[in-house]
Amino acid sequence: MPVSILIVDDEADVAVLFRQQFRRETREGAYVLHFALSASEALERLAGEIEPQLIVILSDINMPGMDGLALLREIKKRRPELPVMMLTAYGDDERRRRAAEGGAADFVTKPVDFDFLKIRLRELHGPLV
Amino acid sequence: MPNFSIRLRLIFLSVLLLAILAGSSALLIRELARDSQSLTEEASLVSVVRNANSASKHFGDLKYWAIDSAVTQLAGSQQAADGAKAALESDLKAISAVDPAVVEAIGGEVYTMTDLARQAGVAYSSDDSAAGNALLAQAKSHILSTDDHLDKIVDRVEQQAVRRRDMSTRQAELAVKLAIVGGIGALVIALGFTALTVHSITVPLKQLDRSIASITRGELNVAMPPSGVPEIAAMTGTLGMLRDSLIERDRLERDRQRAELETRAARDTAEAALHDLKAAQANLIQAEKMASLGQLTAGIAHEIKNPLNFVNNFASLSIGLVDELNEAAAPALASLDERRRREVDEAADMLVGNLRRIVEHGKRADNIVKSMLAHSRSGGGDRESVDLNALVDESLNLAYHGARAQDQNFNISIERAYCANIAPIALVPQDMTRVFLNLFGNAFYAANKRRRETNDGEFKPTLTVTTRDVGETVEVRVRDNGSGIPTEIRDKLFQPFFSTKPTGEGTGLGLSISYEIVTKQHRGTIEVSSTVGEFTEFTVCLPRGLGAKGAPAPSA
Repeated sequence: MPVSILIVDDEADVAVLFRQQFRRETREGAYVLHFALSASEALERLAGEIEPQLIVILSDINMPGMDGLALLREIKKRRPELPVMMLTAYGDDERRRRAAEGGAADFVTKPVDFDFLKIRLRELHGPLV
Repeated sequence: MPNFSIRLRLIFLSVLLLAILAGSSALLIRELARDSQSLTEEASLVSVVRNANSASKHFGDLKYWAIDSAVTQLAGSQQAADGAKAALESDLKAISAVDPAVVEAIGGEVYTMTDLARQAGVAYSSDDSAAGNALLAQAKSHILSTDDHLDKIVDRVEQQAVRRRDMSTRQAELAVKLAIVGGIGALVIALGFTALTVHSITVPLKQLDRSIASITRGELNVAMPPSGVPEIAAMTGTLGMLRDSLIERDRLERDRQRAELETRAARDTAEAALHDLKAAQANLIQAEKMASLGQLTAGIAHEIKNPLNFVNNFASLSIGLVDELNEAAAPALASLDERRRREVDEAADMLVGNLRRIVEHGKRADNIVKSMLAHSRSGGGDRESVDLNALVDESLNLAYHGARAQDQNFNISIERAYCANIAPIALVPQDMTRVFLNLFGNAFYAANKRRRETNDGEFKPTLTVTTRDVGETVEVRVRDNGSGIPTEIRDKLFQPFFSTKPTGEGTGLGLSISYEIVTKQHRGTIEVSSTVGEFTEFTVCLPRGLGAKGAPAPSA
């Protein structure tokens, strides 16, 4: 049974990258990928129905408008149980600390190690069917 | 002497001298008057004596003529007797003052004697010689008595005259003595007072003169002698004012000199401060330049980081896609002839190879970008209290083994001059390790580069690491005996991307990051000194002042 992943990043090419990286998994029906280009768009999507079940949000930190850490706080207000992983090009201690304080499930630095990311996703959701 | 003025003193003296003169004159006048009185008295006594003698003579005449008249009955004798008697009475009158009783007695006797002589004359005229003789005899007894009285009076008067003369003589002698003594006394007193007055004026004048002489010589601390003489006191007062004004002038002069010295010192201080300020300004400009370069570097890195990530991600993704393509196209490829299939395989292999190169160089670029981003990170990190010697030694070992791993021929002799008992210092260990690794790496590189270049067995690459505790700061010196750093590039050493290493070997970010870590994160200093062909020495100074809290540096 497939599950949904929401990826929030202001760079449109991130969607292309993720679709290509998860080509096999989406083809096999394990994951459905959803994309939002801003934090506000992500919150809109979250307000509506996301099918199938949303199991994790992956969010960039540096974005115009509301940034990833603010989004993390908003999500934690609305869906405290929903895991949020932070993706960022800048893995400095300050961002790590703030992400951990905000309740991020993980902190992944770019360039993303997709093998590692897939392992972490399986840990969140269980082995693929 | 009371505070009399010189004028008063001189007036006193004149009055006194006049008084002495008047006194002594009065004394002499009195004595002279007394002497003249004595002389007058003496003269009167002489006349008395003459009168007394005259009385004796006239009595002698009288007794002769009275008896002669009695005997002869001659009228001439009687006349002579009467004349003598009148002269006698006149003399007696003149000397009656000497002894009035005796003179009166003499008068009585004379009267009786003349009367008896007249009776005898009467008797003789009546030829009663017997009665006449008897009467004359009686008269003779009175004559004897009168002679006796007259002798007595003459004696007495003469004695009186002698006494008076003696007395006058004594008085005159006394007067002379008195005049001499009085004169001498008056002279002494006059001289004494004159000397006293002159002394009372000259002594303060001399003191004043000495004071003036002292002041003229410049001895201003001389005391102003107090004077009881108002004029001199006024002069002393004026002199004192002069002295005080001279002292004041000297004091002002000293003040002026001191002020001048102070001004000079202040000017020197100000010049030194200006010099320091200029140096500080230069440092500040350098620090600002470095900070803006660091910001620029980090900013560039931020901008490059994301596109570079895409390059890396898509490149590695594409390697997998080529594999998938090969897999999917395998049946179709199998139908191709040998030559065409080899061409496709070759192109696919080249494509994969290129993609691997893109990934590899992308990773290299990513490392550079990460280093560049380190510029924006300085200030973060937690401080810990660490043993500096241990940290330095650990970094040294890491750097040494790293260098050995890269180059089998690498060798260097390391001298450790660690200061014992450096108190623990609060710093960010991982960042300072990075600084030391960089400094050691550079030193190893420089020393070995020289060894390679000189190509002479004599040269021995050497690294000297010195730590020092300078109280408020600790100091680490890293010295190599490489070929040194030319002066013209020393200013650029800490700029990002400045490197003397061949392209690909160094990013040019090591020292610029070290600079940020030391100066911004740890508020320390990093300096270089070098002599071309001899050595290069980096000195890192870290202040203790910040402690474990550490004011966070402004993040770039």
